[in-house]
Amino acid sequence: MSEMSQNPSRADGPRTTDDPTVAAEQEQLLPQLVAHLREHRSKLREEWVGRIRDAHLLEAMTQQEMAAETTSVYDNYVEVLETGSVEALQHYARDLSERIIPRGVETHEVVGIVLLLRDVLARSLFEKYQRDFSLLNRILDAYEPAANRIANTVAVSFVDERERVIRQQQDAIRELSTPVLPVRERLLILPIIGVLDSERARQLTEQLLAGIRTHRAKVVVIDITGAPDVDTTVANHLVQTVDASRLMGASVIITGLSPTIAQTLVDLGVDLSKIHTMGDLQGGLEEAERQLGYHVTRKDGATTT
Amino acid sequence: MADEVRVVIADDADLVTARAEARAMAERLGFPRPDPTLIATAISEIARNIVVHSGGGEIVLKPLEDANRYGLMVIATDAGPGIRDVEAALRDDYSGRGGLGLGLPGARRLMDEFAVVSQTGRGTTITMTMWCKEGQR
Repeated sequence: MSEMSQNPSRADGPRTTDDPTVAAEQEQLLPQLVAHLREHRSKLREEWVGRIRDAHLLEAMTQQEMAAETTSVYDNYVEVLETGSVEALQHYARDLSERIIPRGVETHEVVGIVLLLRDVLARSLFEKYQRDFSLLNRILDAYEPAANRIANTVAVSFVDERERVIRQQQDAIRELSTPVLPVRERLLILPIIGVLDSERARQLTEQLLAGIRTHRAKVVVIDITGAPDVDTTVANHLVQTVDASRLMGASVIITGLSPTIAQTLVDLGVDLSKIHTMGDLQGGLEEAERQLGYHVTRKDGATTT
Repeated sequence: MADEVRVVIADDADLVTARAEARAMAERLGFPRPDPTLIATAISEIARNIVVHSGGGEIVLKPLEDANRYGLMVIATDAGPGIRDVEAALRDDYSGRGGLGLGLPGARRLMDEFAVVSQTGRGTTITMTMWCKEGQR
């Protein structure tokens, strides 16, 4: 990024577009350039694949996949160079990201292969026009901004697509991770898994209170075995959830406090004396059953598996 | 010796990052359990203060080493409104905004060294350190 801003004349449009004759000539140059890239398509593509392999990029792909992907990326690249259309470019970049992200391809690889293609094509232009230095310059003036725009758009689009996937997954995790489970009549379990931020804590309290009403629960076991960190804010949420549940007529047993978390809470000075805790989920369930008057026995001769 | 780690604190999600970085660094330095959790929790408290009271800041984690012990230093800075009465804020039950009022004093109890420098209207810097008590590891 910083490299680009230090060197704006390369990233911007052709330097001399305000001169009508030069602009007209440049319009001639681009088709000429595109024709050259189409004509030497298979040779240039192979060279590009070789460079990708040398740079150890896209190693997750098989030979066939690599051939198919690079062919399609090459053709699209040349097409975008030719038309210069922003929509075609964005479509191309989005398509590339959507196909490539599920295969576990990293950002640096996508940007890497596009930059390699840019370089391979630039080299071939050098080779073709090396005899006429001023023509070469004008060809590069037409080529570089278009090529840089493609690289830029591909990188941005790849990151956007990735962020979209992450957002989707976050929403999914949020939905999945606060289940209120009825285990027996009047007995609910609420396993807490993962980091409890304020938003999740609020949602969890809401779901639990709704669950208590729906199932007319008398006892709730909240298991925090899966919560890696408990600080004062999380403890505060727990205390408030317990208080609110009590107002709804349900008593709460908290289970799964690890020794480390117990020690941390004591050091922090959090007062959990009002809260009924049990060592593990099994102990919590047994205590809940006792409170509800259930008596669970095992049949004689039953096998434990 | 590992390098220092800088975490920008802007919202709840950054707390998770700061905690994870601190835990990883403490474990790398060889802190025995439960110290990594204690450090992570102390960071949680002060990072939460940054999010709630000043809208943003940063936390720097620094490995320390002297002749015969290892340590981890946490430097939390923000450019928020500052703490008007630091003495009061370090007492239990003092709460700026409806918490348990245990954030700062709790963090202080979790760590070995703890210092607050705050200027009203300019911001707050909290420096806290935990030393690895197993001597030479």
